[in-house]
Amino acid sequence: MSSVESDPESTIRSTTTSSGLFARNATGLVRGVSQRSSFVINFIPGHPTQALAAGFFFVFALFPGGNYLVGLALTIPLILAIAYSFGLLTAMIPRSGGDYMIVSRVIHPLAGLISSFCMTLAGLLSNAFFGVAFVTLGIGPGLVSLGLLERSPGLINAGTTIQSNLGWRFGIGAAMMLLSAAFLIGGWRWSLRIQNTLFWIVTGGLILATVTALFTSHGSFVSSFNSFLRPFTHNANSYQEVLNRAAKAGVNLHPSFSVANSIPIVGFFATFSIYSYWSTFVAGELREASSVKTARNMALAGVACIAVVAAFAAVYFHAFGTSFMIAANGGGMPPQVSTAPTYFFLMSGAVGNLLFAILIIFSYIFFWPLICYISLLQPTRMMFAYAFDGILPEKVTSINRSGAPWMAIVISWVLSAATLLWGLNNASFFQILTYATLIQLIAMGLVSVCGIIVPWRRPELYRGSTSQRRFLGLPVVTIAGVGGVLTCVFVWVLFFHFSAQFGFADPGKFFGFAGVTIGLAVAYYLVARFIRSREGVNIALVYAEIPPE
Amino acid sequence: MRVGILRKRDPNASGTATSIFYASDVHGSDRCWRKFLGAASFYKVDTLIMGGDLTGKAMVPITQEADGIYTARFIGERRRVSSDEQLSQLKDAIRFNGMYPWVASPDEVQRHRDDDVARDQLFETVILDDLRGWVALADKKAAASGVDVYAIAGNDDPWTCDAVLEASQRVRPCEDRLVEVGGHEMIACSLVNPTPWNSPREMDEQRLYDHLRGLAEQVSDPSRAIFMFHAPPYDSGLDTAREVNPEDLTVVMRNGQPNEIPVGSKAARQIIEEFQPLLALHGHIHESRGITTIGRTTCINPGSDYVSGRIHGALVKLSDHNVTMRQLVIG
Repeated sequence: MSSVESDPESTIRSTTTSSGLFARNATGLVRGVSQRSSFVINFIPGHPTQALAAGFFFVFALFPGGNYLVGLALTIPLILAIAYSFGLLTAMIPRSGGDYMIVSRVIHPLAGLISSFCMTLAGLLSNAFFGVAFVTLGIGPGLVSLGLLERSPGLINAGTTIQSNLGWRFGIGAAMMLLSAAFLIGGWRWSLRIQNTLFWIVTGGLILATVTALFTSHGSFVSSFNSFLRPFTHNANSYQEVLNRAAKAGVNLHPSFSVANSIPIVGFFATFSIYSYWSTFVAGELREASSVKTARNMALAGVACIAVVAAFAAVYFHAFGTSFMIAANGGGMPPQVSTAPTYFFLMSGAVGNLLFAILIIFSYIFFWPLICYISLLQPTRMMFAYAFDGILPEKVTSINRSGAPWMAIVISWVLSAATLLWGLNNASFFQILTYATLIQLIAMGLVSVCGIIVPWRRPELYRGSTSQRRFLGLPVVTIAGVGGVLTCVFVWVLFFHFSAQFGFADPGKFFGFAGVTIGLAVAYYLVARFIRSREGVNIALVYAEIPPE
Repeated sequence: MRVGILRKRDPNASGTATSIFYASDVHGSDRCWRKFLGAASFYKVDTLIMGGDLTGKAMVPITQEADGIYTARFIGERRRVSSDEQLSQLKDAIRFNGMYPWVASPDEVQRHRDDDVARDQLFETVILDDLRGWVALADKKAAASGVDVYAIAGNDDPWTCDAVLEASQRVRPCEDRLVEVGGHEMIACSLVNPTPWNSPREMDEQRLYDHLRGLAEQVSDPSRAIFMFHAPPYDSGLDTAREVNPEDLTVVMRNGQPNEIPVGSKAARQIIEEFQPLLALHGHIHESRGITTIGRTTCINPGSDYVSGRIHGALVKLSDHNVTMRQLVIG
């Protein structure tokens, strides 16, 4: 028999760490996602590019007198409540899988499945929205903008055609999703490199456009805009035409400040900005995930998005004119200009330089595959968590040479493409976004409930975590949870109260939609439990906590 | 007759079944150790196997100030407590995270900061005292339940831990020897291939191969045997970790991102490929939790997340020549 003598040199050798710990020579765990990368992951869902190009200015035509600074300021508590609910719970349960992992462990596995079904459906609907937006807010308007700049009927026609043709919208949208899935298929090293590169391209394009706008006087913009559109409108003052058309259509171009109309704006801003918790889905791969940095990072990312939107919006309002932005987004654009008045369209016209236009248009277009990639993190990690828990075949966890869960990624792409097809045939552009938001709020509400109850429901997790701070005698995580629940209820109420403005034609239909989703989650749990029990596997054991005594 | 997914599969169909709960890398988490011992009745298994790395990696000095205030830096935060109850809660939180609390005067804390030898000795004393407490608890629980408990140390455990395990009445140490688990032969080894941390139990691949081969050759029927190697087999998907620079223990970056590589043992893999045991149990790489097969051998790394207070484990049922059920659980 071979035997090993204990090596006298291989004994304890300790050191003192910078934080004051005594640590000994032992192997260490290094997780792959740095806090910096996690900040980027949390920032992207609320990236200012999306808000500024896809609806920010539109709401002022819907809610005249609503003040964007008031709206943005009121959105911050909502962001903080959700971010700290997710962040503190993620620090307690630093496992990949996000809401599923949190809710299944804190409340009940069935609740975890309901949450993740809602979250996944929201993710798929969001991907469908991103697919549509890639064409109708990205490539289409981009081609039209370049066509107008270059006076190329071919580009204008191409941009208009792909926006209106169902086949083109599906094909290009699905291809964009495939590209996003490809970002994930190469493993973290590959994914993070692409993620961070695209992030800086997108952010750089937005900064370039905004800084240029900052140094563009209002008079200069009006002059450039008129010159830009004159060949198409045959009007020497297209700027004034936009104002006149909107006023004629009943849009209030000089509304006085209205608190009542600032409140619904909060709901709209929330649809872009309360998702700064995305790193929760990769918590098991996050460095220092157990520290309070996880929550701070989420909160900081959310607030940073809002702050940038506020600052950049102020620049655009200054350069383009507040009344003009309300008018242009309220239907005042000349019919000869078949594109939305996005910041990149307006700035392309204002600068009149092809290279500049290409830079800001393509940097904007890249945003959509980037956010779709971020969105795909959720179902892929959730499927991984499902498979580890035994409620999905282990085959789903198959990883390629790069460590990427290729099967889960492929399934996510197929489901996203199918949802896009459904969305194009059955729902309006904003209806998809509204459904996605409302269904996601169910999951976020369940996580917030976890925040409320975790100190009592999982006291050992709470006591062992960094999340034990109290305010007015109450655990901060509980306060954040209460805030999270109120946030979800508030946004829900806003959407239903202003259903027409949010493109929500039949609110009753949504309850059926949500009911089916929850019913499917319950059915899935029962079927999975039944099938696994036939194999001698009790999936209840996966979630069950062994009593320590 | 029921077919397909409706057909009930009997895990005991092909002979006498052995049911096992396997876990590894609890790293000083008192809660995880207690859960490990409680797993037998909870999961209704007849055998508990612990795959090594029992001891914690860090100690948190709690400074007792003259005014009766206790202070400590813990998970990035400065904690300050005064009452006995608060002190107890602080110690529990430290233990929950797999570290050892140590209360001392400011002078004592400073002396141990400055004196490497004194600190090393303190570590050894605290680790062994704690492990003795664990073994005593295991003896008591196993005696009451009649469950079989097997344990080895891991690469992070000092060699002095073995004597504590050997002294146990009910925990069967199995390092470097052939034991029987429910009618299956089992060999076990705590050694791993070299790591950048220079942990207490490391060996170069060739020597490790020779050592493992010597163990494996004692097995009369490998097709029914269990090989418990703390090191996972190389490039098996159970051994993926970030590459670390051995000189300064920083993560190796490639193109601005951490480089992921297989870090398992080639010797362990070669032995598994050559002997094709029924089951191979591993640990060591916490973040590479999973189940895979090498040839006919089912290989399991349950992973570890001991700081969460949940024990990562695997439930396994063995018939004479088959693994009839395996399931990763978090208890």
